[in-house]
Amino acid sequence: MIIKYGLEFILHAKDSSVKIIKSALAEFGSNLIVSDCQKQVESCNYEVRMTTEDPTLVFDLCSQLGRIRSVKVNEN
Amino acid sequence: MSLCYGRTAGSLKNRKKFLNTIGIDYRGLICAKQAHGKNIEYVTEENKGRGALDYDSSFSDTDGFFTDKTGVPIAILTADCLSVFIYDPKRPAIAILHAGWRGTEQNICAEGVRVMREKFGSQPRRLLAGFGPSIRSCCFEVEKDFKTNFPFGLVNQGGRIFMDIALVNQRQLVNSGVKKENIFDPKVCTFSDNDNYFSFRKEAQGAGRLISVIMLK
Repeated sequence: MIIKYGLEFILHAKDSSVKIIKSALAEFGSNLIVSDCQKQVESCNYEVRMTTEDPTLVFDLCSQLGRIRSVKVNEN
Repeated sequence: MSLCYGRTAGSLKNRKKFLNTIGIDYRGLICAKQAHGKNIEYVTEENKGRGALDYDSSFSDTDGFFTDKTGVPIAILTADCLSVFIYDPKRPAIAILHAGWRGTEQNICAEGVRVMREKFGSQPRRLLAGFGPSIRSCCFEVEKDFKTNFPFGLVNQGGRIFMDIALVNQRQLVNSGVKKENIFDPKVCTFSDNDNYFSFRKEAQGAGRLISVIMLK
């Protein structure tokens, strides 16, 4: 049986954009929503929501883009 | 296993699954944008992860890596080309090379031995070498003009010319001072055993890529 997980987290990133984050994550699941940048001093907070079979891959990829915070994982 | 062909998600899953079984964290893998040349890069802990999760961060124009650092996994991706592993148990140090026919023509094996000798003082006669799966002389038909660039390693079968890429690289290693008995050749043909291995010649653009990886523990 394939288990799917609902992920919600904040990605704190410099030099990124909604388009870059969506492009990086699109293959890794479904129901992907990336909120517009909430501007910090030199970077942005992006709220990411998606459904995936492999949360660790998603977090590994996102850790290249910035810092991950406020993680919620729900087993669907 | 490649991040520049096919689906990235699938490749990362496969890398993670495979590398976990041999005790390597797939996030630390070092990969190259291979260019069929003979540029071999020295890598250390600082370079870990280049090409691990995305293709863009891979080393450009590079067809081999070498290191004397532990915990630094270096990789080459192939589909018919030969991967060459070199190990110096004394230093210890390792190298991995991508030897397609173009790299072989440029004698990348000799370059691999040279950089290990110069950087680490490796003695060729003490080096151990191994080959990954590649297309073999049974299936690797080449143009007749290969004769001018490869004085050995070509087989004439009824007027058709076939290349034994592993034999050529074995000879190049031996000419560089590596003992023949220290070279391990699994004699696996990617083309004829296409159920188990990817073959570019057989599958063309749809071919996946095999990964060859080595790390000092």
